[in-house]
Amino acid sequence: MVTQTIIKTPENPRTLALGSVNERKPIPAIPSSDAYRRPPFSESHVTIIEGDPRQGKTETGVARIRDAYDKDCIRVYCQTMLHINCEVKTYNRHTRIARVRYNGKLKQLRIPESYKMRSPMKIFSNTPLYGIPYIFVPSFEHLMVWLKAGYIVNGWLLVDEAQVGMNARACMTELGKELGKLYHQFGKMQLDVIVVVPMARMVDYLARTVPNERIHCTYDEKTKKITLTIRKKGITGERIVKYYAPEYWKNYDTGRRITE
Amino acid sequence: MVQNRGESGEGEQLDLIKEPIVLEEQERELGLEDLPNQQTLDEAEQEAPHETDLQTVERHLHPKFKDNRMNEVGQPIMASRVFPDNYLDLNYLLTMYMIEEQAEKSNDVDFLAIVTGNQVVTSIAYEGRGRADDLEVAGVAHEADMEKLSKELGLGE
Repeated sequence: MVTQTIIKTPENPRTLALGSVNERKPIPAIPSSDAYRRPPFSESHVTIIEGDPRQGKTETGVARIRDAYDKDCIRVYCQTMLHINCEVKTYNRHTRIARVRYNGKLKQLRIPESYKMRSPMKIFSNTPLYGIPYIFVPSFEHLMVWLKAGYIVNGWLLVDEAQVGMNARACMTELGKELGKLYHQFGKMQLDVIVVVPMARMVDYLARTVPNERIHCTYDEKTKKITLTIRKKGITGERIVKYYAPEYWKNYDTGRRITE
Repeated sequence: MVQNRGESGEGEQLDLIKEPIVLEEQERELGLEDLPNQQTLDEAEQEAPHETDLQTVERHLHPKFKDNRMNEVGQPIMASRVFPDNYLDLNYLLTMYMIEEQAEKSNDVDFLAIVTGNQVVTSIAYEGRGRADDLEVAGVAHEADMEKLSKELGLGE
């Protein structure tokens, strides 16, 4: 079953002349995002995920978003049901147990089965997600125009198969140039961005300079675990993290192609 | 629908869908309802050991050599204890033996690599400094972990 909710936006003919993207057209007002307003980022939150085909790149991006969404649901639960403000550390979907830090102490909460997990967190993705409310970005043209228009702000952005629209060989096309102007403004837009690409060199040079976290994925067929090698900008060495892949299979379609 | 823009993009129209639409689809049914209770990615990330600094220090404390023979002989020595009385003898023995070994294979003997390599190996192991450094680093890492854990549990505040 698919439900659709339209974000209220001011009346605006959403037909833009392509040649006139640079001409300063009146920008539509930003959709109401008061429900999910985050403090300004002091640094960019951009992650680039690399790996050979079928090694769990998209899944890792989806997993990051899924976990962030669950944690935000717990935050909402604590605020609305328990009337407390706390920092959510982790949440386990199987046991429905969350670990939160409240008043400087670590506590565990069990979320009742009857409680329906909801969060106003905004998720933008160019690959379909299942079980998570999200805004589908049909193409990289949409991505560029919506970023410029201020629709894509204050949330999470998953760019799967980034080499399709941010290709290093197409960086001097109109789309490439326009996207290039936006890469370094993700922090201002309060966006957590996840760029999924087989190899970083396949995307535009400007897009490669933004990420402050690089993840390399490998999948083990026997254990069904994905191993991540995580490197963070400014931190020596790397961290190795393993997680169970089938946990997130129901949240995305691995066969979905992205062509525009 | 979105049309191809071509190189110039002049005059063509990009008709975007009117509004960004929030979609919510049910989770895919893959028959995976009885999955074992495994850690989520977030949990795994938070519990992954922060060994990066330790590993970096270890790499510096125990250098690896290009020559496999040097590694074979040198690695155990670095983790052992070389007594001051044996230091020069051991250094001499290792150097002479490795030179002989290389000379048997070819006339091209890398004296510098052998002499400096053995000097590095034996000086690390001098009076067991190498193993003492290892234990010290491991202890500091353990203390840092314990401190973090106690903070998380709200102890010692």
